[in-house]
Formats: sequence, structure tokens, C-alpha cells
Amino acid sequence: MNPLEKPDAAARAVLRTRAQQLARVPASQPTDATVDVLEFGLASERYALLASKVHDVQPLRELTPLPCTPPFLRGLVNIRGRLVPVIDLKKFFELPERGITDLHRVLLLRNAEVEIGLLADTIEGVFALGTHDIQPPPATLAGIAAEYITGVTAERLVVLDADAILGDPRLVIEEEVIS
Amino acid sequence: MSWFNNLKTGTKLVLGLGLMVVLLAVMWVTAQRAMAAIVQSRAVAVEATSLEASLNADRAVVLTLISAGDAAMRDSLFDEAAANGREATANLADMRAIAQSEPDLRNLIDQFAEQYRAYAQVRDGQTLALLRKGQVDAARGVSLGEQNRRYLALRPLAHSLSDQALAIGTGQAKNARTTFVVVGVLAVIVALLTGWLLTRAISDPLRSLTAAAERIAVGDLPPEETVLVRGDEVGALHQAFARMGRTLRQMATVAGSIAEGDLRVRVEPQSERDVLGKAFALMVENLRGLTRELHEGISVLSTSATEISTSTSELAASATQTAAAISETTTTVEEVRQTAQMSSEKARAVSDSALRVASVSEEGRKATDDAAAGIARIQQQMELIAESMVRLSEQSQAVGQIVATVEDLSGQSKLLAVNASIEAAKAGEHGKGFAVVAQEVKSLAEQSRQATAQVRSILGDIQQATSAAVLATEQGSHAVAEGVRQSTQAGHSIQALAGSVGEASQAAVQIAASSQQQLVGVDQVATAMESIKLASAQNVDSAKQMESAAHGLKLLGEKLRQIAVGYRV
Repeated sequence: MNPLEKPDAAARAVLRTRAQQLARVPASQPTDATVDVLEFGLASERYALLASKVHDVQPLRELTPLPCTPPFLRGLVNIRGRLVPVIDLKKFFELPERGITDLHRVLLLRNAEVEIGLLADTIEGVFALGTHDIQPPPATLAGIAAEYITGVTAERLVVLDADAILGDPRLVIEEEVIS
Repeated sequence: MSWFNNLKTGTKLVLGLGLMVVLLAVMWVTAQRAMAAIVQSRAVAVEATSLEASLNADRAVVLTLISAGDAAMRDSLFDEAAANGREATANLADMRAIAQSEPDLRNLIDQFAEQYRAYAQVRDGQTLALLRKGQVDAARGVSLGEQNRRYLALRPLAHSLSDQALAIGTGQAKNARTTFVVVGVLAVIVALLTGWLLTRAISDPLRSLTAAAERIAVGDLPPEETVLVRGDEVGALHQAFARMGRTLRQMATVAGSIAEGDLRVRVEPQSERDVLGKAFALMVENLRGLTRELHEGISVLSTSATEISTSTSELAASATQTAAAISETTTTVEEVRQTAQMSSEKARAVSDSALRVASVSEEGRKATDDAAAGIARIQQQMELIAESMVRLSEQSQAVGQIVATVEDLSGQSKLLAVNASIEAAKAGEHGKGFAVVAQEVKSLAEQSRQATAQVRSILGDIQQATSAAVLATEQGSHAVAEGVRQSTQAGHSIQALAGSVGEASQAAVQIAASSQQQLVGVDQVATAMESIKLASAQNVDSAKQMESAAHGLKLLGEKLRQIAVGYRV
């Protein structure tokens, strides 16, 4: 006997109760302050920057390597007539290196003094992120990585501090190579 | 007494009997002498009586002569008187002769003879002479006077003589009786003593020897016995008996050793004529030789039995192996027979089918001709397909370029949307609406990117399929060309095949006949193998029996060898 043909009264009551429970309005979510973050991928990890701190996103075109520079400086690009240095954060976070293609993007950061481009493998988009979701970085981190990281979300999204990156004096390169 | 024992038995007997004889002789002599004395005495007495009688007769004659007157009568009386005188003289002489050994009697006789001579002188000289002269009175006077006194004196003298003689005879007889009694008792004692001594000296050792001989006769050999050291025959008999006992014991020891199997004993014959010793020595020698030969024979027998046993064991094993092999061979032959039967049937079937194959091959030849024509048409079609595929490939390349362009556009759209979102974020609350639009644009760009990704994927599949199809078409063209060539070859081959099949069908018929003959032959072989199998089974049984017999022989050899080892040569 197929139970779907003639459901008895008890089964109907159970089903109705279950439907009413499911149809309840969920409890009011806490209205929380949100910030818009630009999520991008480096290697297999996900990172984010505050969207308001990012000036622009451009495709990586015509990257020109600079000789006699540290490894994190991958080269220079021409964006609307301006020469912008491209920094590879993977060197700082000790992530595996991939070859550079046209599919890479450049996040432009700028303040009053400098303008730099951060190399990103993929761009995921802009999302609203609750400030309560951002947790301080683990104390075990040290070095440049600890200085750049604002916090980490439960979804293992690493939120970076654009001002810290821009204000890092170590990115100022003064090297002489005696040929 | 040792000197007595050392005497020869004959000497002993002679001594004993001689003693008896001596005693008897003594008795005889004594008797003779006594008898002679008695007879003498009696004779003297008789003579004395006779003398008295003749004296009386002479007196009477004389007196008669004196009284008688007749002349004739007187003559006879004179003769008688003379005769009496002679008789008396003779009697005196006899008496004197008899009584030689009796002095008393002789004295009496001499006395009597003295007086009688006087009497006879008177009588003859005076009386008778007077008478003859007829002077009777004178004669009477002579005769009655002195003569009568003499006569009267002579008579008592004769009496006493007779009595004396009788008394002497009686005494002699008494002496003789006493002597007989003494000598007889002595003889009896001596005889008893001799008998006892002889008995003791001869009979006792003989009795002991008899007892020993009885024991030897029943086989009881006494141990070393004391030898009676004596010089006589009994001693010699004892010593000879002891020697005999020693010899017998030696023989018994030898026999015991032989019985215990020790044949190393040496038997020395006691003498040249030692029959038993020689026989023993010969027997030991023969036994030794016999045992040695027996040893060798038993050794050979044992070795041979062992070899035979080993050989029969190997024989039995090989017979069993042979039987097993023959059994396997029989099975194999049976299988071969079945195989031959099957092959015979198959050959028959082959010969039948070969005939059918001949007709089929003819049909096949026609079919290959048709197939060659069909393949030629297929080749033309394949060329058309190849051209179409090349065109399809080119067009799909063009579609790929278009898709790439669209993908690039979608990427740029997404980037634009992101930048728009950034701008909206920078604008804050005022940019909220714009942010929604930018999000939608980004969504569209994402969708178009996904669509182009699908298109690219599909296009990739199409291109792969096209390439594969082109390749397959190319290969198909080649295969078709090969097919054309092969179909042509197949035509030729099938024609050759048809010829070969004809020959094959004839050969198959011949094979079927041969196979039938082979089947008959294999049947005979199978029957023969069955017989061989039976014979082999009997062989195995025989070999097993022979093995057990050889084993028994080996055991017997071992036993004989153990027995023979007991005989030490």
C-alpha cells in the first residue's frame, strides 16, 4: 500500500506541525555595522581589503620586470600614463609562486605619497562584512604578515590593512648595484 | 699286609692252596706214619701171637713125638716140628724187621729170641735127636725138665711182647688222633684265613670297580678317583680302570666342548690302537672341516640370500613400477584408442564437411567479388566524408575565436563591475543603489563567463570529436584502400582455397580410411596391452612372493650364520 495515497490523520498532523515550525519568522538578526571588503585570492587562500581603501582594479598588462630589485617587486605597469610598481604579497605570506598571466589583476592602492599595485590571482568581488565577524589575528603570527593583517573571519578570510602596506618603509627600495 | 697285596693273584692263590696242600700232606704223612706204626705194632702182636702158637704147636709136636710110637706118624711130626722151627725163626725175623723203630719192642724181641734160641737148640739138638735115635725116655727127660721150664718162660714173654706191641699200637693210634685233630683245626683256620684274605684282597676292589663300571655303563662318569696303588692284577686293573676313566672323561670333555660348539679342542689318541680316540680325533677334524665348510657355505648362502633379497626387492619394486607404467600405458592406449576413434569420426566428419566447404568456397569467391565492388563504393563515400570533416574543423576553429572574444568581454565586464562596486563603496550611503547595479552587472558578467565556459567546453568536445573523426576518416580511407587490396587478395586466396579445399576433401577421405585402419590397430594394441597388464600383475605377485621367499631365505641365512658362529673352529 502506497503511503502517499492515503495519509492518515496522525501523519497529517505531524506534517502540519513541522510546516508551521519551518514557516516561523526567524528571530530578528542583530543589526550590526558592516564594512564593504574587496575579496581576492592569492594562490589557494582568500584575502580581503576594505573596498574604500582600494582605488581601482586593473587587468595586469605589459608587466615590466625591474632588475636589481627585491623579489617581492615583480615589476612596473603603465596605468593611464602612470608607472605603478607591482608588489607580490605571496612573497610575504610564503605562498607558492605561480606563473604570471593576463588573468592576473592589479589592485591599485594610493595615498598622498605613493601609489602601488598589489598582484592578485583572482578577484572575487565586493562584499559586506560585519565588523564583529572580523577576529584579531592569531598571536602566533609574526613578522611582516602580522603587521599587515587586520583580522581573520570565521570563513578563513584574511582582512589586510591597506594603510599598513602603504606605510611600510621596507617597501621603499634604495639599493645600489655596483656593476 | 702290603707285601701280600703286592703279590700276584696267582701267587696268592698258589700260596693259599699250597698252604692247604702242605697241611694235607702233613696230615697224610702223619696218617701214613701213624698207620704204619699201628700196623707194625699189630704185626708185631700178630707175630708174637703166631710165635706163641707155633711155640705151642712145637711143644705139642714134641710131646706127641715123645708119646707116639708109630714110625710114619713120627716122620710127619718130625717134618712138622722142623716146619714149626722154621716158622718161628721166620716170625722172629719178621718181628725183628718190623720192630726196627721200636727199641723197647726190640729189646723184648731180642730177649725172646735169646731164650727161643736156647729153646730151639735144646729141642733140635737134644730132644729131636734123641727121638730120632729112639731114645724116647731120654728125650722125655730132656723135654720135661729144663726144656719145659724154658717153654713156660717163653710163653709169658710172648704174651708180654704181644701186649707191649698192642699197647704201643694203641698209643700210636691216640697220638695219631691228636695230631689229626690239631692239624685239621689248623688246616680249617688257615683255609678260612686264606679265603678271607683272598676275598678281601680281590673281591672288594673288584666290587668297587664293578660299581664304578656300573656307573660308567649308565653314563655316570665319576670324577677323579683315588687310584689303588698295588702291584697285583687288581691294582693294575684299578690303574687301567682309572686310565680308562681319565680317557673317558677326556673324551667326555671333548664331546662336551664339541657339543658346546668349541671345535678347537685337540684329541690325542692314547695309543696306536685307540679306536675311540682316533675316531674322536677324526670326528673333530671332520667336524672342523665340515663346520669350516659350513661357515663358508653359510657365509656364501647369507651373502647370496641378502643379494637375492635385495635383487628381489628391486625386482619387486621394478615389477611394481612396470605394472604401474603398464597400467598407465594401458590407460593411455585406451585414451589413444578413444582418441583414434574420435579422430576417425572427426576425419569422417571432416571429409564430409570438406565437400561442403568446397561448395561454400565457390560461393565465397563470388561473395568476395561483390565485396570488392562494395568496398570501392565505400571508398568514394569516405572521401566525401573527409572533405566535410575538414570543413567542420575549420568552422569550429572560427567559433573558438569568437568564444574567446566573448570571454574576454565578460572578464572586462566583471572587472568593470568590481570597479563600480569599489566606487560605490567609496561613495558610502549614496552609492548603495549603484552598488546593487554593479552587483547585477558582475552577476551578468559571471553568467556570460560561465556560458562562454560551457560553449568553450562544448566547442572543445566538438573539436576533439572532429579531430578524432578526421583521424578516423583518414584511417577509414586507408582501411578501405587496404580493404580493397585485401578483398582482391581474398578473391585470389579464396580461389586458391577452393582448389586446396578440393584436394583437402580428397585427403580427408583418405585420412578417414587411414584413421579407420588406425582405430583397428589401436584396438589390437589395447587388447595386447590388457594381456600385458594381466601378465604384469602376475609378475608383480610372483615378484612379491619371490621377495618374501628371499626374505625368508635371508632370515634363514642369518639364523644359520648365528648358529654357525656358535661353532668355534
